[in-house]
This record gives sequence, C-alpha cells and structure tokens, in this order.
Amino acid sequence: MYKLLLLLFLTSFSNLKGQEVIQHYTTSNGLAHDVVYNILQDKNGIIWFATDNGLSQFNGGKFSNFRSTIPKSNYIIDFIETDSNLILGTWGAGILSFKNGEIIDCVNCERLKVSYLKAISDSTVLIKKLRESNTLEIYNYNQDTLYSSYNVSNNNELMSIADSLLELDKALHFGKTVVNKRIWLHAFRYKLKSYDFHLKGVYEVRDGELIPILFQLSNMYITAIKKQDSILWTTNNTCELIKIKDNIILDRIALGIKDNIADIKVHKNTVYLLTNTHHLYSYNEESKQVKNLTKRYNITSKISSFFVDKDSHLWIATNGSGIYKIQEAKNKFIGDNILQSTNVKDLFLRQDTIILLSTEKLSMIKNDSLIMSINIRGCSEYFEPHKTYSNVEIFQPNWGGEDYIHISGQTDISIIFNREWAFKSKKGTFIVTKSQITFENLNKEQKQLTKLGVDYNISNVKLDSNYIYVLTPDSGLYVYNYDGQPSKVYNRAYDFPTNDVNDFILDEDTIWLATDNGLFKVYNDTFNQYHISNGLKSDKVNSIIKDKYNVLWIGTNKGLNILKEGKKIYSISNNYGQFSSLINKIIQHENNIYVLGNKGIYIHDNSTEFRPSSKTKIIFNQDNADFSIYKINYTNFYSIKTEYKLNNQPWKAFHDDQLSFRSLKEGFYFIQFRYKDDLSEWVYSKTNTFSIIEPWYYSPWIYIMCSFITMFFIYKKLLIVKRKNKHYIKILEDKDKLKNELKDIRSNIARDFHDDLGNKLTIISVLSQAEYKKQKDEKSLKNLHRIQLEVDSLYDSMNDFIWALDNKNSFLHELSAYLNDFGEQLFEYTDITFLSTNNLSDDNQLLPPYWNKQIILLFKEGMTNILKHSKGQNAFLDINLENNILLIILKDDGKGFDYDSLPRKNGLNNMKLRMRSIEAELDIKSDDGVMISFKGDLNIIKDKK
Amino acid sequence: MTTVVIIEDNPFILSSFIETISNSDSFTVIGAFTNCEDALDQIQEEPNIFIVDIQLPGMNGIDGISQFRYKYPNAKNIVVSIHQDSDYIFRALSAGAIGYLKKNTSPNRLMEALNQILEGGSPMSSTIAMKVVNYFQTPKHESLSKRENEVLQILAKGISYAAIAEELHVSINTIKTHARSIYEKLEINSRDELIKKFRPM
Repeated sequence: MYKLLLLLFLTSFSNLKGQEVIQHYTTSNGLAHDVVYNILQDKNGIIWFATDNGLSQFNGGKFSNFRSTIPKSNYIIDFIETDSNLILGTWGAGILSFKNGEIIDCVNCERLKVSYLKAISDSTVLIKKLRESNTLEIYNYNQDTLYSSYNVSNNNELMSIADSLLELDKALHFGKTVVNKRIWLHAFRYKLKSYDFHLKGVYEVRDGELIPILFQLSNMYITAIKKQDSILWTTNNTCELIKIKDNIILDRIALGIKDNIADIKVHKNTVYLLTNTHHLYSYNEESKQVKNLTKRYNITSKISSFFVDKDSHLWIATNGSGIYKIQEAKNKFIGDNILQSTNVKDLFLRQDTIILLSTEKLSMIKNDSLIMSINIRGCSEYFEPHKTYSNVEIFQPNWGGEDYIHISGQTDISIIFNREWAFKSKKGTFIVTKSQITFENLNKEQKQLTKLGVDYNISNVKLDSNYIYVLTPDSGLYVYNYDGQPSKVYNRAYDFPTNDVNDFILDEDTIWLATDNGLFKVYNDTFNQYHISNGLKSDKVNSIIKDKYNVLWIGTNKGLNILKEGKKIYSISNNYGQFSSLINKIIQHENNIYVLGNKGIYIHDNSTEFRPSSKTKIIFNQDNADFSIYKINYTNFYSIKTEYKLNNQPWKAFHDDQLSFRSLKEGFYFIQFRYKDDLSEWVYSKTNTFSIIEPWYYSPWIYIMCSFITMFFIYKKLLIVKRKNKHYIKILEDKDKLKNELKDIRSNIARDFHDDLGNKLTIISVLSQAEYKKQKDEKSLKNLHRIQLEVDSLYDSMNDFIWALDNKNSFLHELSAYLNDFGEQLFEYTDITFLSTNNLSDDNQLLPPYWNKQIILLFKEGMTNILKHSKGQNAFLDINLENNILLIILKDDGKGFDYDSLPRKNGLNNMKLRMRSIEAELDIKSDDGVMISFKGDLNIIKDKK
Repeated sequence: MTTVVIIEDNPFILSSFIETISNSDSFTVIGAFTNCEDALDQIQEEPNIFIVDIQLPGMNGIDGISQFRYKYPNAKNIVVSIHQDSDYIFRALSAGAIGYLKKNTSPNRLMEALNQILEGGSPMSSTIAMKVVNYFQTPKHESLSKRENEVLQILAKGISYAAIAEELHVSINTIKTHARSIYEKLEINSRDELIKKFRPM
C-alpha cells in the first residue's frame, strides 16, 4: 500500500466552451478576403459573404469566389437578394448586380461609395453613399436609375421638421432602419462632437415627409430597431433593450453595456446586439443573461456584422479575421479546457459530482469545474468502478494491491487493485475473482457457480432471471445457468465469428455484442452483423448501451453511432459537439448519456429522444443528360452521401459535383437522386428524365450507307483505273506492236537492200572486174578500177548501214565483236598484227542511238588508215567501260602523221563533228604512231529517257 | 586438182566465180548451178568444195548445205552471201559450212578463201563466236573441250586472235585450230538434229 499524491485543483472553470462548436474560416479556407462586411443567406439556403475582395459563396464545405471582371472595385460593402439576383453595393464602383456566377456593372451609379443598402421596394434600394456624406439615395435596379430625392439638405420640408429637432447645419446623421420596407429615422448611433444624439424618437419617411411614430419612445434617443414578427426590439442611448408589442413596452432590460447598440437581430429567445464599437453581445430572454460573445469566442478583430442562419448557426463577420460560425449546442463536451488527461476510461456520478478516470488521472468535476485531479500510478489501462458501500471502489483488474484515498469533505475513494469484486442481486451476492464466480445467497451460503480456466479473465458479469453472462476480453461471452452449468458460448470455438467481445447488453430476448468485428444482434441463436458498410464509424466496437427510448448508443474506435429501430445508424460527431474520435465507454445516467472518449466526455442531453434531421440541401440542375449537384450543409457537410438510381438499376454512390450521362446508350432514362448526412435518413429527389440520342454519325445505317458510298466510289475508281489500265495496256501493246513493226520494217529494209542493192553492187563489181580484164585503154582501166573501188566501198558502207539499222546490234558487245571482226579480216593477210582487247563484263550495255554506226565509221576508217599509212607492225584496239564511261582507243606503232601537213583536213574535222553530234569526245594524237580515242557517257541514255 | 561446185542464182556473179576459179591452176569448176535442187539432181561426182549462195530460189543455201553434207560428207562447203548477218552465217556453219565469203569478194580474196578451206576452213569471227557461245550455253551437248570452251569465250568477247594467243601463250594457228574444231562440233550437233529431221526421206 502506498499513498498517492493528492492534487487538489481549486480553480474553477465557469465556461464550458465545448457546448458550442466554433468554426473559424479565413482566406486559408478559401474565403475571398478576411475583411468581411456582410453575410446573407439566399432563398436557396446558400450563404454569401461581402468581402474586400469580391463575393464569397459558401456551401458548408467549399468557398467559391466571384469578382468583377471590370477592376473598378471589388470592395463589396453590402448586398441584398432580389427575386432574381444579388444587388451588391461597392466602395467606389457603385451598385453591381450578380447573377449566374457573373458580376454585372450598373451603369448609372458607377463610382459611388456605398455605405449600406436596404431594400425599400421590389425594385429599389436605399443607398447611403459616402461621396457626399449628407445624402441618401434611392436606386432602382430594374431601371438602373438613381434618385436623389432624399437628399435631406435640399428638402425644405424635411429641413423644417428636422430643424426644430436637430438643429442641423451642415451634415445630417440619422440612424436609418428599414422596417417592412419603410425608412425609419432615429438617432445616429454615434455621438457627434457638437450635438448629442440629435433626434429623439422614431420617424417614418412617408412621401418625403417625416412622420413621428412609436410615441412611447419619443423622449428617447433610439440607436437601433429590429422588428421580429410582432415584436419590436429597440435600444436607446442608455443601453436599454426595450421590447415593444402593439405599441406597449413589454420589457426594458438594462444591458449593462457601455457602448451604444448599432444593430439588433433576434433568433428564438436570444437577442443579438452589435455595439457601435463592433462588439457582439447576446441577451437570453429565458436566462436573462447578457453575454459578451466577442470575449466568449475570443474574437480580436472588429465585428462588422452578424447573422443567424436557418439552422440556428450564428455567423460573425469580422474586419480582418474572416468568419466565425457558432453552432448552437445544448450538449456539453468536457475536454482539455477542463481535464488534464482527456482520454477518459470511466466515470460515475455521485450527486452533482462527476468522478472520472482517465489515463493516470482521477478527476472530480462539479458545476462544470474541475475540483480535484490526482495522479494514479499504473491505473492507465482499465477500470471498473463499483459502488458497494458509501465509498467508491475502483477496480483495476491487472494489478494487485489496494489503496484508499480519503479526500477531506469529499467521498472516500478506495482504489482496489485486485481481481475480486462483487455485486448484489435479489438472489444474493456474486463474487467475481480472476476466473471464477461464487454466489453467496442471502443466508450467506456460498456456491461456486463457474470456474473458467486460469487463462481467462472476467471483465464483466451480467445477470438476468435465468442466466449469468460472463464476458472475457479474449474468449468471448459465456452464459451459465444458476446451477453453474454452461448454456451457451459466443466465441470462435462455438461458430461465433470472433473471440474479441468488448461489451454486451441484454435486451429481453436479444443480446447485443460489441466486438472487434462490428456489432452483433443475437436473437434465437441467429445473429445479424452491423459494420462500416451499415454506417458504423468503425468495426471495432468498444461499448454499447440502450437508452430509455430503446435507442442504442454505440462507441467505436472511430466515433459515436446511434442505432434506431434496429436498422438506422446515425453518427454523432462535432455536428453535435462530440469531439472524440475514439469512444471508450458510454454510460447512461438520468437524462444524460455520457460518452467517454479520447478527447474528453460528451454529455448528451437525452431528455428527448434522438431524432434524425437532415441538415443537407442539394440543388440539382439538369441540362438534359448533364447534372450539376450543389450540396449545402453548414452542420455536417463532409458526412453527406449522394447516390443516384438510373432506371431500375441499383443505387450508385457518386461524389462529384458534375454528372454526365452522355456516354449512355441511346434511350430514355429515369434518374432519381438521394442524399443523407450522418444525422439524417435518405432524402429523395424527384425523378428526372433525360434522353440520349446518339449523333447521326453513330447510327448503324450511317455506317452502312457510308460503306456503300465508299464501296461505290472505290468501284467507280476501280472502273476508271481499269479503263485507264486498259488504255495504257493498249498504248503499250501498240507501242510494242509498232516496235515490232518497226523492227520488221528495218529487217525488211535491210533484206531488200541486201537483196537488191547488194546483188546489184556485186554485179557491177563483177562486171567491172570482167571489163577491166578486157580493156586496154589506160584511161578506161583507171575508170574501171575507180568504179570497182567505189562499188566495193559502197557495198561495205551499205553493210555497215544495214548492220547498224538492226536493233540487236545496238549493244556494246555486238559493237565490240563487229569492230574486232573487221580488224581481224582487214589485217589477216597483212604484216600488221591486230590486237584487240576489252574489259567488258557479261552484262551487255545498250548504246545510245546512232553511237554504233558512228563508232564503226570512225574506227573502220581509223583501222583502214593504219593499214594504208602507218607502216607500223601492230594495230591496237581497246574497248574500256568503267562507270558507264565508254573509252575506245585505236592506236598503231607506225610513223604517225603531221596534222598541219595533211592536204585535206575535212575528213578529221567531219569525224569530230559527228562525235560531237552524239555527245561524245574524239581525240586524235600522233606522236609515236597515231592514237584515236573515243570517249562517251552511257548515262545519257537514262538522261534522255 | 580441187573440184568445185558453185551454186549462185545470179548468172553474172556465177560466171565471174567460174572464171576466177577456172583461171587458177589448182581449182576446177565441175558444176555450176543457179539453185540447189538442180545441183542435188545433177552433180555427177562429189566435189571437194561447194560454193553456195544463201539467198536462192527454192531451197535456200543453208538447207542446201545440209543436203550436200548428208549426200557428200567429204565435200567442204563455203557460203557466199551478200548477207553479213551473223544469223545466216551461223545457221550455215551449223549446217556444215566451214567458211563464208562476201559476195563482192575480190578474185584474190576468193582464191585465198579456197586455199584456206583446204587448210581446214576460215577462222571464226567474234560475232559468230557470240552465236556459238549462246548455242552451246543451251545444255544439249557438252562436246567442247576445256580449251575450246576457253577460246570460244574469249573470242566471243570481241578479242582478236593475236590478243588471245598472247593471253593464252599459244600461237594464232593453235587458236584457229580450236576454232575450226568448234565448227565441226557445231555441225555434229546440228547433224544429229538434221538426221532426225531428214530420216523420213
């Protein structure tokens, strides 16, 4: 035994801030600017903020910002909603209109510096402009017209009325309030230097006149007015809140605020009051309490305006700190603002004191204040508080020993560190030790009911009229009858899905089991399982209770769930002011549910049954098969689930803000949406319809038609090609035919030449030879010899001509053979040796037109000249073809000739000209013998083609 | 005395040939005809040499030579033609001719050619060699020796006898001997076909 250090905290915390959920939004959350002037909730429920950098739209999850594309001014000071749009009053850019995501300039009031806007009819707004401080103006936004008829300083009638009251000289400063679209004038909320509040009472502007109203206030300086239903709330310069109904003052409340009230708003029983020093207060009619909300919510910037939305959230716009949203909550959360150790394992209540056990701490709370907190060494895992006598025993199962804490003036607390604990029933007392239960009846007779194995730990025991239920943390739930006979076991060995049963409750014939595998409902030996897919925050369920309304409260490793009617699961988180993400235990006490979690204790006022209510609104916009989904929820936005059902298909979840069904097959479709948040049931949209009509180019008949058309064109094209081919083939055939005909003609010409001319020449030759032999006359002999030579020459020329005419002799091999044969025959019976060589390959080369004839003429003459004139011993002929360049060289080793001494040069010159005509080069040299070289490029055939 | 039969359809040329040959000491004309048919009918004794024109009325000279080779296998045939076309000459050689002359051949050249015939025939020209190469490329008869084949290939390329002799390091006469041997083999081949052709006769 040892003493624990007692730490007694006497500090009192009067405010439990956890009762309200405060959300703070700034530019870091997407807000357009941290200087926010005004707040508005439109008829769709969307909340808008007028900021120093445009308009911010907020749906609870995301800000969308809109700015003028004409950058005159994006300081939006005030705005109102009309039937079709928002009218924005700017600082320096006059009035703007906002519609369908677009800011439109109003032409006739540009450059105005607007101080505020008040709707005074369906089409007009009252503007206070600051360009000239003493003017009020009316703007008709439908006509885009500005009226200055309320320029007070120029209105004689108004002057006369005001003069007696206000002693106006230059500037007029009224308080202006629009009530039921009527302008009421009253004292200005600020004191002016020269004049105190100037205007006593309240006046209504009617047809340019000031009509005094609310006579009971006629001797007061009224700083603010708010009409809510039939009640009129006003404040005066002595900071009295005056409640009026039917012209009778019902109440006058001294607020105790030193500043004048500039604005009043009322929500349910609470009157919110904004001072001219930009502090916000609230007055509760029930509690009669005035609260300084600026201080309460720790708002350091000036508050520019405030607003209570349809879900009772208080929105506060600040001049530099963005937006505060305060969610009203009747439930309490005791967290780190009070507790030193927030991971609360267990608690019990004694009268008005909460005694709670958290990690290594034992604490006491009374009147929302921590009155004691002590360290408990080792008591960090698990406690079972049990009340036997007047004191409190705290049981810690896994540690031996015992300790007593006596707190002066408080309840004695025993901390018992052993496994033995007992509880009483009508039949007697049950004593539970580590692994066995003993029953001691009212006569003190003891009977051992059950004895589990040594490895079992008993963590809980419950009884009903027939059975004893023994829970072990690792081996499931054992059920025994009062004779100690086992009746039923819920663990894996007995076909139950898990051994890890953490808690259970007995509900008539049903047992609810909180396990690591979800929640089980066991009835008649069958069980239903609830897990994440059914809406549980986690499958690890730690604690379960059933409240007096038969609602199950389920504490899981990831939050708190509620199960109603055995099937509908809801979730309570910070939407209700429950901040713990892990729930250790749930305890019901009187009208409260105590939820013990890792962040503290959530105390739920369960005086009325939990009823689900949707905080979500979704605006669906349809453009045939395209849908835009705009979710609005300022309580639990991120718990929204959305699904759609297409025709008779199952519901399908979606998360996007845009849905397109354009890719569906052609047809007519029905679509319905549904949505829920974690505090609501499914809400169903109306059924929409849309039709998908495939573009004409997707239709099968279009494909078929296109195929046909394509095939038709291909067919036509083929026909044309075929016709052309036929035409080309005919041309080619004609060409071949012509070629063959030409060939035949050439052959025939050749043959006819031979047959006729050849024979004739031969005859002339023979006859001249015969005559030569007979003739004695010298002159005749000479002539006959000449005739013979000419005929022979003509005969040879004719042969050359005929040879060249033949198409097959247009090739280099044939030319080479022809020249060689000529030389061979010419020099056969002479003293000159004819040496002809070449480097021709087997590939026969076609010669350009006329080359063969010209080359033959050239080299035959050359060889004849060698024979006649060279007096050499050898004649060389070499034909060389390299890179398609043909080089033919004829040379001898004779005496050569002197060109200049040649008597006639025409022969050589003609030869050169002939070679030039066939684009070849001829070179004749005479050094040691004569060399004739011919050079030509065979590529000219290709070029000519 | 070497006996010669001349078949030439032109009487002037025929008489000129007769005169030229008759004037020599070693040759005598024993028959002169203007067509082959008459010659085949009327020749009494086998001559040593036939001089045959190609272009003849009726049977042409090439067919005539075939008949003469068949009928007078020991006689040498020489073609005289105004045609220098290698096709004609080749066909004549294939038929059994061993030489050819231009029709306007001078009397001296005629006599040189006749003497050459007696020595074995006129040398093969390059154009003819090209024809022969093509002919033997058709795998009918692998009758040419390696050397003959070599000579034939070079000859067909248009290289002169003298150059071939230099290249092969042999005399021009050896080359000519090879060429004549090729003629004979050419004729043997042709003769096989001829026998088949004329067998029914």
